[in-house]
Amino acid sequence: MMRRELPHDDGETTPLLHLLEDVTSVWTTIVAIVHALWLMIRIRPQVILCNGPGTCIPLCVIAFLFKVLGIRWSSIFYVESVARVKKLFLSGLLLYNLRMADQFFVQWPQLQKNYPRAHYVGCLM
Amino acid sequence: MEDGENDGKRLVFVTVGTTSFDALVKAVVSQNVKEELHKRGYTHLLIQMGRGIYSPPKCDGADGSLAVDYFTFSSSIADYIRSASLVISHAGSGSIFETLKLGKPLIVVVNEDLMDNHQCELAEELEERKHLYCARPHSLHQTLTKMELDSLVRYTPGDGTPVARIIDRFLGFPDD
Repeated sequence: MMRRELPHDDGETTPLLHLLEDVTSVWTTIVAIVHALWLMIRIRPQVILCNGPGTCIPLCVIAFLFKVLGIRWSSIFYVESVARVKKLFLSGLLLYNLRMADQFFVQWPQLQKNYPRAHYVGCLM
Repeated sequence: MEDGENDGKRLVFVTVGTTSFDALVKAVVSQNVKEELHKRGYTHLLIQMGRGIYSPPKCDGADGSLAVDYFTFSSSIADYIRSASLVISHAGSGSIFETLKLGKPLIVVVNEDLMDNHQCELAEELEERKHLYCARPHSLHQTLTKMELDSLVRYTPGDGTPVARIIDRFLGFPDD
């Protein structure tokens, strides 16, 4: 699905460029959400399995909203990246705290201590 | 740990993945690092420099010093890792686990110029578990002088079965 490029700070951007980046960020996020909605309706996945980057968020949000509205097409399973040892990715934090994922998996014991509702499954690599 | 010996050639393979990591490339071709590698019996240094700008000077090693070569990208670095006796890598999880699964000694160098440096968490955790050594560009020489590759513990690849089992159970499939 469509991927929103996150702006990165190379130390050379001006306030105007920052504003332009924010505006394009909002626009590409909207495009990603619309694309996710289209994919959900077309594919009607029974399982959404995701891992880490924010590209999964639009799809998970749509699937979760559908569930809230009573359309239980998809179960959401999130496996936090092996690169996350002590802290979750932002996408993981959202899915964990808002209880959007049906099952949440972490690969390091430190994370399971901080996020007790997660399943610790060891290093999967 | 396996040694990629081939006609007495002992290769050090350096990889920065798809990133730009000039600090590592410069550190690896600095005089004291090359001397330390040479002292430890390595004969060749091959650098995959990715999107970096700095091109190190090549050397054919005919005068008995370390032979140095580089390239930018390759579709797969697995063969380079397999033929290496030592791998020095940036802290990307892909490069780290590809090297560990091939059973090669690994030094991970963390890029201090990166904004969000969560990568060092993984490298430091694996170092604590004695699967690799972790360094910064400026401390690479020190790590090389102190490292004892025989003391590294071989990494055992993970198993996804527990994840599949939990998902199957949640979806109502019977346990095998």
